[in-house]
Amino acid sequence: MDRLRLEQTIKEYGDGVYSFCVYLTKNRTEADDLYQDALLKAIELDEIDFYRNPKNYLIGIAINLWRNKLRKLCILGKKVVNFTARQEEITSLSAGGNPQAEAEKNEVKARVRAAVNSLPDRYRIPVLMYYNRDMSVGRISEILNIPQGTVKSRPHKARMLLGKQLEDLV
Amino acid sequence: MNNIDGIIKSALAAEYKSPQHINNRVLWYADGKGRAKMKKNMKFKQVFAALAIIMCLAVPTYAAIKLLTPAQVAKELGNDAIAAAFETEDAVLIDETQEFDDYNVTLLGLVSGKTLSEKMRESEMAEAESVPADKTYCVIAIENADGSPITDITDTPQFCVSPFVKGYSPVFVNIMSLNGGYLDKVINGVRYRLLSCENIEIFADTTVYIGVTKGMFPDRAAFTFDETTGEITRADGYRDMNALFELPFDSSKADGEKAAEIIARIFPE
Repeated sequence: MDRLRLEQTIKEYGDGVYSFCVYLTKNRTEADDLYQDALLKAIELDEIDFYRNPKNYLIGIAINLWRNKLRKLCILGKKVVNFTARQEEITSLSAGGNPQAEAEKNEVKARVRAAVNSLPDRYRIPVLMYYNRDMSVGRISEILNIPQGTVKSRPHKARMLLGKQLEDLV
Repeated sequence: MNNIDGIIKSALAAEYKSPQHINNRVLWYADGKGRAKMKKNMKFKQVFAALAIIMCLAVPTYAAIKLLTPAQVAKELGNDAIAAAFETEDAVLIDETQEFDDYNVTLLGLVSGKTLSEKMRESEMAEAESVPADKTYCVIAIENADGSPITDITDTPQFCVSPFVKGYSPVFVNIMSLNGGYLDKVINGVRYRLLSCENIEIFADTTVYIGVTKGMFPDRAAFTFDETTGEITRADGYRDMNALFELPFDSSKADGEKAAEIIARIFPE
């Protein structure tokens, strides 16, 4: 694996892949592990096509690793507890000049994220892939190994469920 | 895109920064693989020499970042009997990590010797006799929190790993009064400890803990003992590492008589 290309990939896409891992695992410590495991797996496989879409490739690896881990966690009951002083650093990518507006915006985001997190995984994961990563139906179908028709229906169903929870925001 | 789509998309935008220590660790791992690959085109003797140099420099492998199992640790420390004990169903495999600012501490597992030495005698393992009865063996892993490898034991402070028992102050019932000992080894960037002490599974009808602090001896300030309930907890406001694991023992393995003997020895009248 070309070291410089890998470094560039991490620089360009690392935040996006990591954010996806945070939303997927709903836990910063698990997200750290998953993010690292996905990158290391990609290095082992040595198949990142730097000209196509390395970001979605890495996310595909992350999703599969996460699903495998969930199956194993059910059996082994591994636990991680974090006693560090590290804070949740939500670095907003938009410049905000109005503190009240920022606070309201953050509250909306928190509600939407909580609503997405409350969805069953069969809806939540395609929603994350569709809205967070702009993945195509074909790509989602390939990674999750489900028919394209099913992929199309899940974000739609998820929108209906979320619409009910968030109707006051719409 | 309708309004709900816009709201969802905005809420799920990429807002988290990838941890730099993980990015560094991954690039460092990739460097190690790259170096090994570069040498493949050389002649056999040169490849062998180059690989020997790389191994001496302790280039990490993927396995370096994943922790060993308790059995693997015992084997690395030269004790095949204890390694075999960790692979039986009597081993309590835990794999719980507690993270602190400078170190992550993982309790990998425990096994007690009495039952297992009987089983190993039954299986006619030659080394069965070397697993003493009535001991508990416990494996802990300590890693740098920033992901960098520990290269030598002397790079890290002393750590104290100690069992505690609910109902008894950690000042009195601890690794020293329970006749403990340990072996440490750094393997692939992680410091592993194989601890042995008197069989603490006999206290299984109450809560048994493993505490980990820095220093040679248990730090009194690290844990709080509730004189009323007998519970032991991590001290609020303690500014350093004070890992505390509760052990998921099977209460049917408790031995009240043996437990009373040990307590009577520690608290003579």
